[in-house]
Amino acid sequence: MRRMLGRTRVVRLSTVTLLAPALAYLGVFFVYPIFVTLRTSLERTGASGYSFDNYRAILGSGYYWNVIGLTLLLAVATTLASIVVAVPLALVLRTHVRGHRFVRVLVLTPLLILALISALGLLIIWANTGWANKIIASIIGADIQVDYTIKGLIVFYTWLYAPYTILTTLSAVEAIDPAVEEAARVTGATPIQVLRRVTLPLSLRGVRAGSILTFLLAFEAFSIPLIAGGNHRPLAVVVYTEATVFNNFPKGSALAIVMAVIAVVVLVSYQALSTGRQRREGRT
Amino acid sequence: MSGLAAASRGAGASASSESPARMERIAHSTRRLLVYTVLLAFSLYIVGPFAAILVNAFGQGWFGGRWLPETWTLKWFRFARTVADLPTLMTNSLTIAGLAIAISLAVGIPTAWAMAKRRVRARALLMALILLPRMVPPITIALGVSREFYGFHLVDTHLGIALAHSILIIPLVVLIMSATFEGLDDRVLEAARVCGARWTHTSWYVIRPLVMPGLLAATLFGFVTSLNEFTLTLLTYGPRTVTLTVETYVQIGQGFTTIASALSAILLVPSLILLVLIQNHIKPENVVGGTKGI
Amino acid sequence: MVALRGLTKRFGDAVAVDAIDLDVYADELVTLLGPSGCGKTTTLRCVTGSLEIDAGSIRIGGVDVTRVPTHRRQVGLVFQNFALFPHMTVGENVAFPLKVRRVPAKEIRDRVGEALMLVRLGHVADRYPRELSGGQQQRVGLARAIVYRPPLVLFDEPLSNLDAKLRREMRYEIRRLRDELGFAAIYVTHDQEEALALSDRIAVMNDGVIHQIGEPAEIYANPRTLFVAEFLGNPNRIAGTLVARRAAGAVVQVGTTEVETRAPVDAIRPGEEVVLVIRPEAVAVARSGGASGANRWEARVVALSFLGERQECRLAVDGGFVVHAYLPPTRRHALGDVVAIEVPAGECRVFRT
Repeated sequence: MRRMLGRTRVVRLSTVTLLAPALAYLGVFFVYPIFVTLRTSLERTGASGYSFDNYRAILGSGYYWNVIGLTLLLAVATTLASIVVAVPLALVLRTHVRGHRFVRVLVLTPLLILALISALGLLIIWANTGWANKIIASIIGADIQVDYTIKGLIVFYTWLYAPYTILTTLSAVEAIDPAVEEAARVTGATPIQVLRRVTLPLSLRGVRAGSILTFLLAFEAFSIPLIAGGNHRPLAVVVYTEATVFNNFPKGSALAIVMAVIAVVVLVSYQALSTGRQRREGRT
Repeated sequence: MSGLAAASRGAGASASSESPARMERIAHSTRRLLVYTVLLAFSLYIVGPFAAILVNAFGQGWFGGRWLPETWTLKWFRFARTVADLPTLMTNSLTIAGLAIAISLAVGIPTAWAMAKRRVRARALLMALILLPRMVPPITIALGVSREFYGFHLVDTHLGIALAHSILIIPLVVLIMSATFEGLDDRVLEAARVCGARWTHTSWYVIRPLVMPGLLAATLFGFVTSLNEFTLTLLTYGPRTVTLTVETYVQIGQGFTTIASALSAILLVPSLILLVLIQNHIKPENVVGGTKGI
Repeated sequence: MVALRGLTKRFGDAVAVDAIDLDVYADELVTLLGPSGCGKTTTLRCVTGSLEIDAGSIRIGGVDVTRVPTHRRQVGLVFQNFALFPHMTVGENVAFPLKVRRVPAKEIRDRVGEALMLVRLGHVADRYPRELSGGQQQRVGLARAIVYRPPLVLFDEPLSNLDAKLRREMRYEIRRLRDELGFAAIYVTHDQEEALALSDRIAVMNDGVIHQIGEPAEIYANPRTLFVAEFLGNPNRIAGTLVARRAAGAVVQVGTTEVETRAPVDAIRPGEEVVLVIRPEAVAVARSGGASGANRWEARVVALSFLGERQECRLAVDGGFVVHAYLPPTRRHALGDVVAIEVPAGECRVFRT
């Protein structure tokens, strides 16, 4: 017995040792690149030394504000469209009609497919002579130009990013205790009143959680507008073209930082608001 | 009482009258029709792009407003093999994915264990930190990484791209594995110790089977994420490390949507396999948490 | 007030409620009492309109509501798990029925205040349900159910989620509310003590059928089926054979012992197998000795339990059967003691097996 105990070396790795690889990795491959981008953004093109020139150029130029505006517009529109798709779908799926399991799995598909591929497929469908326009033409007698337009981008974004909102809304909707809705019915609420006063308010939390995700993804979208945006270039694409096509790494970096700042600000505000809300409602 | 009387008069008080019951049934069937239309429309909407890609990949002469191509052919796949050098593409993508998953597991698992089993101060903060790479726009990270790699001569290397991918995969691994480890009951480990098992023995025979599902999930997700990664790859690749995703983009850029469709069709396979595996094991609604860290 | 006629509800091939007839009068509380799965909750949900019935009719206040949707039936419902709206305050919860009826705001305030006073929760109107205890939440549910003064209030095992002491308190609350507001009520429970304490009449149900309806004392004293006899109280159940029928009773043979019984309800003929039901409180236990007579036997104490307010004992009658009976808490006996037990013939009820 003693011999066996003697042979067992108790090696207990300290917590710091366990966390070290990840922290080191983060430091080298995440923090450092961000730092590099920051530093690059402060470089001056064609001169040495650092300055805020690039930021001044960006924030002072109408062109870049348009780009930011376009990106935000796309993000907001996509978020709204996703909510419009998510809520009715969640309510329908909740009733477990025939085929609901199949649709639930379908909802997952855009999440797992490379955005690039989805964009390609969507481009083909929504081409002026594609399937979608053939159906539309037979209804209203004319084609709609979708590919390479802003509304096209919104449609494409929604296809890709709505599933996040759908899934969280569905989760929230299914967490509602049916007895509560029945209580509403018994106390005299018509089905519409039940929906408006009980079901929808209770699913709001799910809608919010998914929407912030959808918003951020739409805001950061890169590969879709790259191949399907045509002349419309949101932030991610402009960053890329500035840096690589125009070889203006400093300006591209500055833009990338601006983009990151907006994203982080939105995310942090959302977190702050939701913790504030949770505290107010006495939730732990 | 008058309200009640009015209500039932409105609904057809006497059981003998037929039409209120029939109206009820009609309303019910219209509702059902509406529901099925919504589901059908949504399904078509989702499936559409995939169908389009597949048709494009296998079809020839699909233009001019036709519903389907003139003929079916495999020539785009042949082109992919020769012109786009499919075998090399696949080798590249798979190698990178394999490297990435190995790195991510090596870094992620100890971290996940620490988060799950050890009392870490400011645990929430640490978790947020680890998930940070997924919250910052990919293009922002990609720029910096690209710059950094030029300095370290990591551009156009399989290892380099794998390292870049790992930035995004490690948070996934940590998320999934910490949940898995949290589900590992400490008492089971204690029981094994009391029975006299050494740590290595316990690890292999007790811990491994219990965490296998989570491990598989993390590996699969990581693998697919790497195969599908585009933004970071685009900024760190070179002539020797062209992956499936980058080549697809190049083909689209050159206007060869058919070849691009063929490549996409191939890229779809691992994702679809993952999809099938998921739907058997996880409630789809719970998938979302791991992708953005919210 | 409420009339159920031939109410039938099927789930697939299983008949949950089998052609039930029930009347509830304007002022009474009728309890549907029975074990899980007997159909009592299903019946209740048919009355609220949550379930569509397969046959029969439901009339409330003289009006046929069989086809009327739930939200127009004007009934109140108190849930087992409270079912309060989690996203609304207590006040908003109680105000909800009035809001959907478009009652003017000032009147809503008054009536909500009044309802909360009635359930003695006037001070929590601004809190959220999750901040309240179980008993308080149930009282909010009560307030919400009566604030719009429905003529009929339904109770779906409302006290099952509360602990024993709270349950007793809430029984008095419900009684008090009924006295003040005077609504008719249908109450569902599997707890016989609750049913006996609360009800004006009890309908004992099993397998989708009502076995007996009557006042608590009546069905306790004169159960008409074996199920009812066994479900109420905690009676002895002894197998035997009917030997003879007399003018005012019968004789049942158990082993080598003959027991005089009251007249069976069913038409049982001599020679048939029967079940003898004897309530433990009806068994008189005395020190052994004394003359023997009808239904008076010697028995041996084979088990003894002290339960605080009384003792429970099991007594084996020679050549016959074992009964459990009650003893006052201070009576001293030991295992193996021989005692004399006596059971009045009127307390021995006979049913077909």
